[in-house]
Amino acid sequence: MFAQLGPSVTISWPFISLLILIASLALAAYVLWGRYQSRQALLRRVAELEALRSAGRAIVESQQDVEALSELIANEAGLVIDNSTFQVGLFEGSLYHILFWRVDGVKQEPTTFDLSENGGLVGWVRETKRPLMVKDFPMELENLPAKPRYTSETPPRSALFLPLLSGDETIGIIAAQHYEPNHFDEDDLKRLSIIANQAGSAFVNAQLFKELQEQAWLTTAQLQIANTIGREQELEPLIEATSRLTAMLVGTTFCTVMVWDFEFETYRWIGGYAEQHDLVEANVPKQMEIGTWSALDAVHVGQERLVTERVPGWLRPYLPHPAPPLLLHPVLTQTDAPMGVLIIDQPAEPDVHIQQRQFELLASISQYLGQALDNINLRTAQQEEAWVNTALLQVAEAVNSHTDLAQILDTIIRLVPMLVGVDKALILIWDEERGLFGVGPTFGVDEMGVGLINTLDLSRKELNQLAVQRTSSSQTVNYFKIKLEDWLQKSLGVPVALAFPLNARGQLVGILLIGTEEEIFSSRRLNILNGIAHQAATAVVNNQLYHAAAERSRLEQELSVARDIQASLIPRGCPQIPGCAVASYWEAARQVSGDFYDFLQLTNDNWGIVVADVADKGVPAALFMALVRTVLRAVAFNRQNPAETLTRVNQVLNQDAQTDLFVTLFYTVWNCHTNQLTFANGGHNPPILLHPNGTYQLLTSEGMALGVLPDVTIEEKRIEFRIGDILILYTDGVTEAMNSNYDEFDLPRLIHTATMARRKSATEIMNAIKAEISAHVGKTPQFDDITLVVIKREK
Amino acid sequence: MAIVSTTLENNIQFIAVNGRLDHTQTATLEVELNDALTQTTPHILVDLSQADYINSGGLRTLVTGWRKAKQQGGILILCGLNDRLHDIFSMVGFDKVFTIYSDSETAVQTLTDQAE
Repeated sequence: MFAQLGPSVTISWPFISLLILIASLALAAYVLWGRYQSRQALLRRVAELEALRSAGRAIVESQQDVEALSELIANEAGLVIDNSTFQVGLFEGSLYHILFWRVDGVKQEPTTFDLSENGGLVGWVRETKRPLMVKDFPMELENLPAKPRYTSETPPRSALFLPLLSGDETIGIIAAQHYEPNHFDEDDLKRLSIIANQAGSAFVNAQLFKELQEQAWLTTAQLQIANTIGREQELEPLIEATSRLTAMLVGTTFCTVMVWDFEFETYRWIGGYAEQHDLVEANVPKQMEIGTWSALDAVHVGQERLVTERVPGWLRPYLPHPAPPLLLHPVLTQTDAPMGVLIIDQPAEPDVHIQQRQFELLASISQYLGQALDNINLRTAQQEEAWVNTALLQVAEAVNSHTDLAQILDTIIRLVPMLVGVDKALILIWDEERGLFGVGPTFGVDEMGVGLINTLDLSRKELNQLAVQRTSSSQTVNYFKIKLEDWLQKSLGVPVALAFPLNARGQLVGILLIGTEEEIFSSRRLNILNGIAHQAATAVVNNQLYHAAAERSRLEQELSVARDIQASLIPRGCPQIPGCAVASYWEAARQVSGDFYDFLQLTNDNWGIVVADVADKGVPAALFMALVRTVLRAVAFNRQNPAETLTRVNQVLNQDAQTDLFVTLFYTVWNCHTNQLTFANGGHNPPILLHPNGTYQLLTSEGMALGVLPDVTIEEKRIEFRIGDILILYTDGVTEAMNSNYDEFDLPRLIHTATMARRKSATEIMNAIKAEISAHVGKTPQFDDITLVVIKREK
Repeated sequence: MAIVSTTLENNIQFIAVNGRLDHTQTATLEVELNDALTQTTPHILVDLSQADYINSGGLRTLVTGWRKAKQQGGILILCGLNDRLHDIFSMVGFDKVFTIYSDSETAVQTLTDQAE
């Protein structure tokens, strides 16, 4: 449309002097008229100059954008020339943007031409920076410096082209055209030149202004982004607000954010904004795993923005038709961890300039959003932790309010569905005695299910085999996903079962079984379940410890009673055996002893003396000792022969004793008239008979421990027990008393000690032996009962 | 100190006791013996050649094993007692309860003959 036809005249000098010359000539010809004319011309000239000056001021002083400035220039030009067909345009690279355009007084839409192929007259003016006046296109066609670009059906005949200069650069063009030839004269050219000069610098200012304005806009936009994104504390409002703001600022019709879920490693759709119509949740996939949408994967992995033409079907309803390409922008934390992907629709052929601005804005939005999402994650984690702690505190309170294990576990199992929201829960308790798991309290499991599990007699091994997957999403949570065998499926009636081992003090005391319809459990729920399992385990163990402690204290009490009873079975003080001085010592390695000694006055003359050692220690030995003592007393009083007595005792013990215990026993009968000791030995350490001259004898005789074989042969011997003789009876606790080097006190040492002390009293001899034993063992604890009896024949 | 248990040919349960057969080891010996006694007719040989001491608890454990083996139609015999152990066994009269061999070969042979 902007055709230029006809010859061209290039005018580059001011015309004013010529006009003045003409006026002067006219003045000479027509003095009066001339004066008048001159005055008129001068006045006109002043008016023109005034118009130009005001136009210039208006243009230079305008602080508008280029579009408004273009219109202003056109309007101001209209004051000095006929500009019914007029254009103001600016260059940008090879592009020529016509910012203001009027044809025959009718304003046209701004438009853009690409001058790279054919610059036309506009291009020539741009190149040469010179004005161009075409008086008549058809006449001057051959002489034009460039070929006009376009010929319309009603082409203009005359035109003015003026470069808009800024320094050495032609930044744009203003042009006036007309249908009549020779419509514009040199004067018009001159006047438009002045406008053009001022317009040039005004445009530079305007462009600078525009840039500043844009920068200011960008800053404002970023502030708005920071404000909006920073204000939202919750995920959904954050995404909604961000989407809306992004669409508004970037100038798109659609925006959504897929948020990365760290725990489950998947993208989640939270919300978005669409100009077309509201995003309907039902039509949007709530979850998008890696591998579902390749563009999303690419952004996730590459962490670079990406434009895709392939729009997923679910997004199409929210986009203009046909669907524009989508721009996916990564949302990252400051440390470049993926937080999500921002998705907008992108105009098919975006302006380079606009695109740049879009990218800048998107980068800002993504940055703020990344931080906000990171903060939310952090806060959520803290809240989750607080929630878990609160939940577990509830469990702890419940646990502490009961002392009975059944009640505690029952409370725990009733809290599980309340705190975690599971369908089924039951606790299996390890029964140490039976070596299998028994069903404890349950929730949501019917009687048949409980019965079924109970009849299975689950062992640890069997339960281990069930664990298909030892899952530890975090270091602290320990649970198993369980294979659903038929029985379990029947018992629980759910597709998924989780097992949390009840571990306390290193032992598996039970299992918390959870049945659920859900495949995926959040870490919060797992944390709570793990904590519950821990508390249940502690409760079970505490209960065991409590019972053990109670049992121990009961046993200790019973033992102390037993000890009292046993002590009453041991002779107190020294028996008045005629002609003899007696000293004795009896000490149990534990609370009760398997050793004993006894003095029996069988007749006026006969005294039975016995020392015995029941194999093993502790309560069974003590009971057996009491039995042996009773049997011996019962048997001995009717018999004067030790061998016969022991044979009978052995028979009775073998008949009565259902235990594996046996006793070694030395029994002698002392007759104070015959001065004789008659003795028999049931496998006991042979006593020492020490003579005043320092020699000694061991009172050995054939026999064996009592209570092992029903028929035993026991030898009986007789020996003189004279004045000054010392009889030492003892159990192996004496000779085997050990020091820390496992050295035993031993028989020779016992004999030596007694020999050295033989002239002293029975008590002194005993004390000497005791002292020597103490010196030998030091602080080494003794594991055997000790019995020592010293009898000295005095007269 | 240790108690080592092996099953020889003809299902002979061989238990070797090292060191002191007292409260430090009787529980272990009891476990090993009970294990050996799970056989229907247990043939058990307790090798005491590396044992240097036995107390009444150790004796009791052996007697219990001997008695149970006998009740089940089996046998528990001993071998390799040193002088000290011999004295103890003889003092208590257990040399009359247990069949005692000086070396394990003879003991195993005896058990093998019995087992067959």
